[in-house]
Amino acid sequence: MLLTYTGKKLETAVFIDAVQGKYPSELMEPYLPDPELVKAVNLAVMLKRPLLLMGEPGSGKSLAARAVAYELYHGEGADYRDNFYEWHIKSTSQAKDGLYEYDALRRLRDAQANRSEVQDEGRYVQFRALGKAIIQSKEGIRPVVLIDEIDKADIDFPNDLLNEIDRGVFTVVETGQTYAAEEKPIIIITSNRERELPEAFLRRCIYYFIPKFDKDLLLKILKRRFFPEVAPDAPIPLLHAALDRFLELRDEIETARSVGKNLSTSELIDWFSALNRYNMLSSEPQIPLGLEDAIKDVQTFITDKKHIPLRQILFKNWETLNYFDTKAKKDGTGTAV
Amino acid sequence: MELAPLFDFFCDLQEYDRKSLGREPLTLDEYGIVVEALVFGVGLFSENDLRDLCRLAWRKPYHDPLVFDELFERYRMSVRARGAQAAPTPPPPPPAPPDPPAPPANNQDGTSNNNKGDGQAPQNQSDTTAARTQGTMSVTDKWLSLPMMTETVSGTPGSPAPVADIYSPMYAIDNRFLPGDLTPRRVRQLLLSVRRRIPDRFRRYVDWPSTIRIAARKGFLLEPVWRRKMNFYSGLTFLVDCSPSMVAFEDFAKHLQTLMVQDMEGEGSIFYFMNCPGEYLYGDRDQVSAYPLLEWIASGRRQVIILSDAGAARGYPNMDRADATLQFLDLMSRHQVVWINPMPKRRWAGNAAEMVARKVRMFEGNDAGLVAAIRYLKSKNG
Repeated sequence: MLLTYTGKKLETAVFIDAVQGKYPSELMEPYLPDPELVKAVNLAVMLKRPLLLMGEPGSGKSLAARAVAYELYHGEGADYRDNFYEWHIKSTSQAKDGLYEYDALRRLRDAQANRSEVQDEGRYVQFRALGKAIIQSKEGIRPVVLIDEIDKADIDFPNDLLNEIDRGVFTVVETGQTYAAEEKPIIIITSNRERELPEAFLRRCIYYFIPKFDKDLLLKILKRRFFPEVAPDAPIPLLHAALDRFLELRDEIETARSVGKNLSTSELIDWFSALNRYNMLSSEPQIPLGLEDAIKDVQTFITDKKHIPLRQILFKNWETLNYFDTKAKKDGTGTAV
Repeated sequence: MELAPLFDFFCDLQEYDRKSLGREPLTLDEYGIVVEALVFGVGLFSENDLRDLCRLAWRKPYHDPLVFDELFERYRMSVRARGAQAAPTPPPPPPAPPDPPAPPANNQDGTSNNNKGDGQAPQNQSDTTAARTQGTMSVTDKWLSLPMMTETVSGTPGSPAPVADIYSPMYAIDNRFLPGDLTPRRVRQLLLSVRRRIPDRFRRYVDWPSTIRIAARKGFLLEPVWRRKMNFYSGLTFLVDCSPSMVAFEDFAKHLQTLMVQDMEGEGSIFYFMNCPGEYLYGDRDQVSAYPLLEWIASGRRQVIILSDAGAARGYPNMDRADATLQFLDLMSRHQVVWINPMPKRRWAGNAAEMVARKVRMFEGNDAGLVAAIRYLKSKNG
């Protein structure tokens, strides 16, 4: 059976109930992929190759894997989390950590107690994300594995995973037992490009760079997330003001390259979430104490787009803050806030 | 139907990998990815579909997207030209006054728009080439016309590039960092990748998994298994030119200093010089603490990265400087040396930098250059 991802199943927010003793409840925010990403996912699924996603932090790389798993495996009586595994890479991660863990201490304790089970080494093996997916994978059900931020790990890490990724096979060294996937799982790997990945590893991947989203897609994302009940063409002054300002800032940061990290979609969502919250508070009969200035600032922003209210949410380093403060002073508009 | 679809394009990409990037080219396995996808029916609906498929399967993070797309464009043109030649020749049309050439328009992703099936594509490859030479140089031409990045510059020096080149956005001197997308963290990761693990002479640790394995086998624990701790060592040394012509790259040099002194303490070192290393190297930018050059050279084999414009910033040859630098490089023959030149490659021709580049591996001071330099140091040849 050919699995196909359309990117249309998660266009609105979805609440997923908790499963007793297994998963907590979860709110899945809408995820609107660009059409090229949909193509890339389908190609990777079809050719059984890992998909390597790169892009600015906050561009939705990790969310993509969850969205794919949700679309492919969530439905009546089926929970996508049964077929979705995450492996968040750390600087100390080793390839084995994603496959299994061997509980050596438990075995030592059993050995000291002179228990006969000590010879059964399989008792001490616990499978991890990639290992579980390989064991569980079969025709028609290919679990989705997210290997998140692979560039955080040691230089040799990606190469250590080649065999497992390429053939869907791994061996538990301690027991000598080999596990092979009936069909290779769907592997989605993300990287922030902080480290060059080995060519041997890149060769095996389908590679897609998530570009900066354009205005239309950003508008759609914000509307779906914050105003799902409003008609698609209905004007929302705060939303349009915020989006225009965000795009201006993004272009400006890109031009002045010394400023630092550029703004990402996740920062826009956070920023707009706060703006929207403060804007709604302005219509409350009783304004919460201490928030008067911030609320007034957001209200002013809707008409005067020169200001950057709540800029702390957007700018994450001193250089950017300083750049826009200095520029605002030069322009004679006071501080950027 | 071609027997080996897209093979010309694939070969062009291989050449781009080898010659312009100094990397291992794409493999036949990767060629197979696209063929397999074509068999499944992907990429067959339109030329853009086919291009998207090639992008997904063959484009790597280190490829320049513009070069990739332009190579595809060339392939597309050549296929059309072949198709036109294969078709029966129509009677010659009556002569008509030529239209003024329209300026090439670029679409959003940097690909040329002259391929939209409007029937105005050049008739053959020579037309395309002629059109290209008449107009502005394409991105691919710029890349492919450059000598190999990992090779020394050879041949007759070309005329120096117009001075305006240096003020292009890529090389605008605003004291930011190195050109391209080099970030401090990226530089750190690249330099850390040179390190090797060597066993510590004194420190040891208990290897618990081995200890437990033996205890389980024997049924008792007699003594733990001890292993020697591993340390990182790079032996990397930076020689940084702090002459006025390098002032634009001061941020980068300062970052290197922080990196070598703080992050890689004991694993590498940094020294300074003016224009060319003379009798002494200096431990600081103000040239207060001096180290005799010959003593340093004799003290052990090292991997050395020299950061200097090698006279390229002047724009005209300085023979004294070139001679002095070549003498210095002769002395350094037992060390692994690479040269990072922050000036763009087309500025090397016709001055001391060109002569130096014949003697030592010289790379542009951008992301690709630094990556190639590190790869060279890590390679057996290095």
